[in-house]
Amino acid sequence: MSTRRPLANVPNATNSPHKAGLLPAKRARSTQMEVPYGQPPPKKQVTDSFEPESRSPSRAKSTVQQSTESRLFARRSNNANPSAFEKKLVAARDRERHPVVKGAKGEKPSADTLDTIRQWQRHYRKAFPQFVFYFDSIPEDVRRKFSSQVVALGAREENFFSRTVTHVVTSRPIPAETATSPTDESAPTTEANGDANVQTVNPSLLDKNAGRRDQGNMDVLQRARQMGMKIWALEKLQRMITTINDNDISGHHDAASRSKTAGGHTAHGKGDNALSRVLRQELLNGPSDRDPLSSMEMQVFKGPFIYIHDMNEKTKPVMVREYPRVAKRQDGAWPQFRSAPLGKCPFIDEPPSRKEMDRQRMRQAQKEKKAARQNAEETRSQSKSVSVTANEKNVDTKLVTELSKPQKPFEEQTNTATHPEITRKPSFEEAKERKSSESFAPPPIPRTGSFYTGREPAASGVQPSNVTSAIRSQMVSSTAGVPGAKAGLSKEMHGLKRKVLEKETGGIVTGSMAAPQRPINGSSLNPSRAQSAESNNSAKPEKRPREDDGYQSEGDRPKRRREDEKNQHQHKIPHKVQHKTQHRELPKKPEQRRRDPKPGYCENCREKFDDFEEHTLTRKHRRFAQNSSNWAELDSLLFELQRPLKEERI
Amino acid sequence: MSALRGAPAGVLELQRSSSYQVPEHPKHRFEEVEEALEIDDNEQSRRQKNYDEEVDESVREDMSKLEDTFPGIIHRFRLVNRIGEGTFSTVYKAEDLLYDHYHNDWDVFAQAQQQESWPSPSSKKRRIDGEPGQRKQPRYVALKKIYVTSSPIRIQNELELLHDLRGCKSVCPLITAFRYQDQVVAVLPYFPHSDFRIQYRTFMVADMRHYLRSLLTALQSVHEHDILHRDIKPTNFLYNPELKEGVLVDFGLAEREGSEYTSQCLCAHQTYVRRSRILSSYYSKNPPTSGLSNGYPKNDSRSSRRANRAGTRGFRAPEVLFKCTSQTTKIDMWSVGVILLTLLGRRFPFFNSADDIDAMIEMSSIFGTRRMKTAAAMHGQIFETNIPTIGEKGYSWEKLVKWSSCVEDLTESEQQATRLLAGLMELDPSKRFSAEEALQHEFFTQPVHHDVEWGGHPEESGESGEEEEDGDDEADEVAML
Repeated sequence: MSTRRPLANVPNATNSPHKAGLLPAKRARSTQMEVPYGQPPPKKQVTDSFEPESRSPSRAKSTVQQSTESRLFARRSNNANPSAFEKKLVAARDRERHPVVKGAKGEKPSADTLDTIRQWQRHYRKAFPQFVFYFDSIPEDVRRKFSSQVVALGAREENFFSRTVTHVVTSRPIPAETATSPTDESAPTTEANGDANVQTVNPSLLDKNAGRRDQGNMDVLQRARQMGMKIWALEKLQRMITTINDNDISGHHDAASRSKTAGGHTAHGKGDNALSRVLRQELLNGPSDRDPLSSMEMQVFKGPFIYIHDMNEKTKPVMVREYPRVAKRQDGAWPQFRSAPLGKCPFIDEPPSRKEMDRQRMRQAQKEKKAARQNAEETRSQSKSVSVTANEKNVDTKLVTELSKPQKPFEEQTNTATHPEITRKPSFEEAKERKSSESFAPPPIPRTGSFYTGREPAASGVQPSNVTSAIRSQMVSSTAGVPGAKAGLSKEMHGLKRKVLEKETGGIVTGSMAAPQRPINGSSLNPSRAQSAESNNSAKPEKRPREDDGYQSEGDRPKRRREDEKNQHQHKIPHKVQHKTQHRELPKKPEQRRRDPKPGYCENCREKFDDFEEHTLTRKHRRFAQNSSNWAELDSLLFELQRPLKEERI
Repeated sequence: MSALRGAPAGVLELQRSSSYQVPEHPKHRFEEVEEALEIDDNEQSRRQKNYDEEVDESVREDMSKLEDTFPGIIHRFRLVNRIGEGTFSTVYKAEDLLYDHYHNDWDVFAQAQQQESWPSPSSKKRRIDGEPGQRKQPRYVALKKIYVTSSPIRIQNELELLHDLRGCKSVCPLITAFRYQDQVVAVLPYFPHSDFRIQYRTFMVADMRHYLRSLLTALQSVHEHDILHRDIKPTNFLYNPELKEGVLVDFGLAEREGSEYTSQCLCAHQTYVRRSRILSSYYSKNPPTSGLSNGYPKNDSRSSRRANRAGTRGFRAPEVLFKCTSQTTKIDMWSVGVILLTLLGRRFPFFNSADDIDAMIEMSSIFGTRRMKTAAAMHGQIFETNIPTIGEKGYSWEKLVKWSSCVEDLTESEQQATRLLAGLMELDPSKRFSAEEALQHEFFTQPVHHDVEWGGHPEESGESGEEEEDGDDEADEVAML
């Protein structure tokens, strides 16, 4: 119909704001400036800004001017008055660019540019053998790679930070220079000199450091800074090495592209922490071209993860979640096939119910009797007891009550005992041999878990008002007990736990289903116990959340509303029945009927609310409700839907 | 064999042969406790005149509130009980007081209603609806009260789609709807049905066939109208095992195909286009050196991929999880597959996903990384995981069904059903069966009748060899009530 607006156009209709970053993540941009020390000739920047050819190294005038030049290019968009030097550089750049634009492959950059590069190269080839590198916060494989490269250039690597180190290479943000915050003019000079002369550590600094030994835990970079060592970002080292090794400075496209790959991107000079990050990413994660991830700092995976992301990296990952590393994968917090009893969801790891455990105990006892008689059985029960301990630990975290000491769940026992090979596969309780479904006995009624709540999961993914159901499902999830594993959900979890706790301690048995099999029933008098039980026991049926959440508990409110609405003339209801409107007495419930606000999102007011009932009474909402223009289209449809009266009634 | 009885909450229970011992059912206890209980004396006597369906107090309050705030509704309908709650609505069973005033062409279920009023086999747990013979046969309808926080557009969408689908077999007809201020109530037929949670455990393959045939028939009509239901799941398909028919309800999330398309998803392109785009993608040109990404952006400022993901966890198709922007009616077919998996695997719910990521992991545990990668790539996504329980190849459906239902071998008809399952739970939506194709499947056209009764007593624990404890257990449970 022409009138329909795609639901996607309804704000919040499709994506719950709770799903992904509610606030647009602000890009972290450190204000910290990186001081450009003897930057190698810019390459990629030129490549990007101008032409693919770009012989950027050629633009280096000298080491002294590196950073000046960098700054020049970095600022070129807003520098109003270029200095004479800058103008000269620009001129050089233009001169160099034009031939390239003409597109002649192998066009050679001007001789003096090449000269400059060669000069630079010579300088550093000479200097490198005196460098002693220390790699800080560099992944082992990357470190090894660079270590061999610097060694190839004559430098050496120090495995431990010491005074002999001249250069610290790091992947971390480089601390600002503390002593003198270099001005535009001074910094390059000193730095360049530093590089050129391979200064050793300033003794006075050493003394100072010695005096500060007590600080002990001072960061390596800070100390390096204090000791006057060079601190290079890893990408800088990369660029240096690439440029030094670039023998083909007469240049083809190759060189350009190579330098592009190696040198990475763009923006030079000051304020390029973003750049550093880009380059660091590139080095750590491999080179990239127009890397969309460039500006972003990466969160490195440490444990098992699932990561589903756009192949062009244009959008946020569709899914990313990391789980704590575990020794045994069964302990992993992610959903996996569990040995759930038949009828139950195979992905839920459930502690056995009390009944099951009782049964378990009996079975255990019987088996032990048997085992006494049979040697073969003995070995078996031994292997059992091993898993008992393992399992107890497992169960303890989730369970529930001291009333029944958790024992090894029956299903695991069977499986480990009889089907050891199955444990890696989905293993289910009754993995006993059965010929077919002929002999198949139907499953027991699941008594715990989401099934036990007697509710199917509700539809979701549409608007935040279903947070409730999402939260509830969190409860049942096998992963629910792992705070932190799901960033962003923990808040909801807490809210939920609190809610559940309130309910429990309030002494109200919610709904009418008193959770018959709940072993903690007896212990719910004790709030703290109940709490731990509640928050851990996925079996807790939180019955009928909606009625608990507001509908039943409006207490003092409905009157006002009723009066409101009495005054409204009614709509669409045959008139004759209206006069009979009367109010049935609500059975007055004593005060314990607390409000249990139901949060959600109102599509009409376009706002979130904490309490459904309260929201529907707000002026804003009432105004919307009473403004018939909001309903005009719907009303015309409703008109079509009128129920046809029988003739004699008309 | 089986007989239908009226049940208070619109729950029809199937009585099975001998071994099905109603009174001892813990489940019955459970149900009763869930459905019934404490009614004020006044209230009870007032209601008892008409019927004595036991209603939870909070439900009663809820219903009173609707009656109080919706002027006049009380004179058209007498609310009986709450029978369901959706994401955006609550559904009540109500007596249609003015039934005889209207044309009731919609009422193709009169027969079913009739059956409902059959005197139930005496069961002390259940009271009989009404007092037969004393008064006119009450006509029941279902009142769907849409939450006031729903936008008129959403409500209109649902009603309009239902209106469009009128006359479609197995799709719940819309009798009428009316509004008072922000409250909108849709009137639907009351359709006696069984509770899937109980029902599925008794299903033999032949029952599955009836169930699926009816569901697929409904979907065929819906899909012919280019409508996606989006929320196919057992609770939205009210199945009456006696009639071997069901009705599809709740079009609250339904949409017309294409109405949501923002940009074309990669999957909507020709294969060769897709291939070349994938090959020229950023990822293909910059594959992570170690084979797996090292990490993900910390403070991601990129916009999110947006796609309609409405649906129910555990029933969402893979392309929904991948945020495909060109979703088709095939997403409903996946959900049908999930239902079939539930039936064959004897587990409900089969998937228990707290969220989409869990759902993805559960799905991947079945399909394995290789197939998931391919599926993701269809939608322009890179699938990466190193979760140790997710294998590379995954499992075949047959294996999975066997494990899940704890049998060594599948019967012929189970194998046939499993082949249908494979066609429904196909990761690639373009290869997945349509409703029409599914109905042409051998499972329906050449059914193998090598079917065996799944079991007699649904409560009976499956632990053969240790049964002697079961009786005690049940007593235990009853005591705990």
